[in-house]
Amino acid sequence: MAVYRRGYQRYQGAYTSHFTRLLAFPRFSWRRLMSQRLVDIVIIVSLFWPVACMLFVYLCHHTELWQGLGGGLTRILSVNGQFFHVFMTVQSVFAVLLAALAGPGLIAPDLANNALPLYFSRPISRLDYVLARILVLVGMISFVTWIPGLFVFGMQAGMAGWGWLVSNWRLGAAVFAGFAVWSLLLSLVALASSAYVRWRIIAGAVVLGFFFVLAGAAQMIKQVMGADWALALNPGEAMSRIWKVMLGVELDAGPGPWACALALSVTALILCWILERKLRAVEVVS
Amino acid sequence: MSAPEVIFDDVSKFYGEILGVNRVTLRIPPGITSMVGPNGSGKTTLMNLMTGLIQPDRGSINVRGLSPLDPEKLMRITGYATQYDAAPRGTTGFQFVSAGLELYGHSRAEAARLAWKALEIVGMTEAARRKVAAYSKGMRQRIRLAHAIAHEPEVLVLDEPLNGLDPLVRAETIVLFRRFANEGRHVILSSHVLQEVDVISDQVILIANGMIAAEGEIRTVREEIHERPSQFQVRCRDASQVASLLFAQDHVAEVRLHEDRKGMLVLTRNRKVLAEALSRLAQDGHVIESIIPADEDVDALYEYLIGGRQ
Amino acid sequence: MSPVIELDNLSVRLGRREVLQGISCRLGVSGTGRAIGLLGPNGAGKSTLIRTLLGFHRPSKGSARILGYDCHHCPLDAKTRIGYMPENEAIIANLTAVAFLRLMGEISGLPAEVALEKAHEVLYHVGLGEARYRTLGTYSLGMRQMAKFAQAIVHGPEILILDEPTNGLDPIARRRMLELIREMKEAHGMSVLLCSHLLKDVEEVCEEAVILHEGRLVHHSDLEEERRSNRRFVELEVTGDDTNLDAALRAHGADGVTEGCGRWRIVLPPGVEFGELWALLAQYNLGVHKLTHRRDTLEEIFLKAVGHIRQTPGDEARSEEVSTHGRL
Repeated sequence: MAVYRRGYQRYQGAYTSHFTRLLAFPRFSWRRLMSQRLVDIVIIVSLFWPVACMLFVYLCHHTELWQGLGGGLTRILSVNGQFFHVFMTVQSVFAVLLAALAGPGLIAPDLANNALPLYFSRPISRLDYVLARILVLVGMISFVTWIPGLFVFGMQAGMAGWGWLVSNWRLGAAVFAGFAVWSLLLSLVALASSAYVRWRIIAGAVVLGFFFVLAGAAQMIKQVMGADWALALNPGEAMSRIWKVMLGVELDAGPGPWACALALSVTALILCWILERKLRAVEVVS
Repeated sequence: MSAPEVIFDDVSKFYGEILGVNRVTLRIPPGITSMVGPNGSGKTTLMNLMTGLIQPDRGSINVRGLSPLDPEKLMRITGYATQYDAAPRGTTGFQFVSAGLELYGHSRAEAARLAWKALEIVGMTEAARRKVAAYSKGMRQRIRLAHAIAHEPEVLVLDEPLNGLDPLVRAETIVLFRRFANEGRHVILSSHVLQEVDVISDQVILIANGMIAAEGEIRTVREEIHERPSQFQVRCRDASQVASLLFAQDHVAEVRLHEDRKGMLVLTRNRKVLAEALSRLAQDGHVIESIIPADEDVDALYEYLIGGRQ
Repeated sequence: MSPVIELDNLSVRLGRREVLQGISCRLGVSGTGRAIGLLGPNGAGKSTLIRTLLGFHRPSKGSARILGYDCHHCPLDAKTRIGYMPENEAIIANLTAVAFLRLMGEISGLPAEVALEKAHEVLYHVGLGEARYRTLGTYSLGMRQMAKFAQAIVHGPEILILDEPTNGLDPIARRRMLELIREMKEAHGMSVLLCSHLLKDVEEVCEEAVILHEGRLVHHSDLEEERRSNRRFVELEVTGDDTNLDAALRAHGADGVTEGCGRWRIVLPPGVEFGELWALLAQYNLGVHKLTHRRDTLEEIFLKAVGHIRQTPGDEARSEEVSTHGRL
């Protein structure tokens, strides 16, 4: 028989790399989020539209199935910038929903019981912390935005052939880049909301409200002042315009892409600033 | 006329199913009395009962001749400093203290005067104009104390009053308690820092699970615990020899050598005889460097009576 | 023998106030487990010093180094080796204790499987074994303190920075905490910086003590040396009639002062042997209840360092004068 004394043993082994350590945050958060039923449902529902789009692409290339329905349909059955724009618009709504669901639980619990000093006494910086949190959201949103988007694009490219791909690769790039920007913006909004609002439901509502309220406000300003550029203040609209330009779709009257880009950049910077203010390891009271 | 006491007579208090105190009987004389016990043992309940904030489910309470059923009279003579913050939002330190005084019926001018007096005693005159919400932990502790002593109560009840205070302020606060006690008032406080309880208290109450484990003066309480022999740590150069000599004596129950073999722990059933024995050994040439009683403080009492039994 | 913490003319400014002013010292010995007590009145700058060591504040002048790494310029290297237990509440309420420690462990650099193992190991060791699957929000204050301590040691740091670790703990939990701190220091070779208002805690656990007052370092003592004290200082508690002891002591060239209730503090002159003291006590039929050697207690050192008293008993004898002493 042997008697063992196993108490606390001080860890003497190697430490993981900076990046692996950062990934601890997303790993924990994703596990937690995926176990929430509502999140699962939203993700599943948000995949319906990509599937429908893929079906559309298929039909576009097999017009023999439509023979009987007349020539009028062949006009709309083409996969172009307009098609992808519609795709992105629909998915962007699901992305907002997902951000509103997943965002609130990311920073609020850390602030509620003063856990930040515990994080920052470890080898991560404030920037690391924010990036890790952004990664959580960007990761989830990617799953419902550019990943299915590229699947659809890939399917189209596969069916239309190399020639189509060479002349239309910009569409694929636009899908990716456009959604990347959108994810980043959403993440910033969700994190900022989580940092300032303690109750999850209200924080989620703030995320949704951010887009709807600004949309309404932009519309009001446009009516009151008769100025089309006011539409740039609506982040959703601004993003949509930038996508149209990237996808080669015609823009109707209103602010151009650079004005929209400027508006979005300013919004992002403001969000970064208010996040930075809240994420201090210690409050300095002078 | 006997000294006024705080008396609990077979008092019980339950919060629904949750236990507050269970059949407590106490007579607390004036002076500094410390209540010691684990969290949730009933200390705060006893404090709330004796200040009249809650009523017992059974039994009766008598505070210096007044009953908590007569709250107006009772609350005049008690001052209560709770464990947690209780200042209304947005009040300054001064407002907190003087508002309390005005509630006792003092005029505004009189309340201000007494408030400044109290603030000076606790050393908060400089910070009194700032909001309580901006105070550090130690400052909040002191403002609560000022609030409690401002109307010069006869019974001062304090829940962990020294928590978060630095050693200087601790020492000054203890001097304040001593002064109150010397004036014949009751100072009843609860604390987890047993060494301080040892030094400052006239009496001690050990409470656990809503029941009183012991009460009285520390030395006498210890003497009453007969089952346990007294423990002494003795340091001497030739410990093994001294140990064997001690073993030969009847009163010694146990001797445990220290690891470095330059001292031992002696358990004896008779302190006086041990003292004499050690004196003889010292005079015989054994170098006895130190003798320290190991279990006469509240720490030891706590361990014996409350200790592992949770 | 390189120090664990090295401060070189460190000044830190917060807002308009200079909170730390030119602090220089070398604390601890790298490689051996030593505990350093950090003491001082409220507002002296202890928290600011700790935060500077953790890289939360930057020095306006001078430098601070932990284990050789500059706290401001190489914060990540320094922090890998630090375990911090803040004074205020610091938990994540909706995580279980195991999940909490895993997260903290992984962020500190433990590989994922190791973090899980260590989480259980540490929780069991600090006494939270039964409660480890419950969320931290349901924990009592004492349990949360233990959980805070657990997250400080889970990654096996070289230095622990503990801010008021026994705050709010009942006596049994307090003893357990101090035992754990001693264990970390002695059995695992960790250095400990212990910041506390309870001087008894510091006396029990620490080998060195530094005292801050109004942003300056006013005292740095090696408590071990104070303990290996000169045998001439005696603290005595006698039973019996001690009214004539004062005169008797003086007749022998010793000097004593009584605090009442049989408690005495005596300074023996160089020539007098211990046996003589015993003989003297026996002569007056005084039973010895307590006999120790004590120079200045940490409390006396503290009060003197912050200017509350002018001198301590140890001072006078240090100047080789034998005189009555007591608190001024």
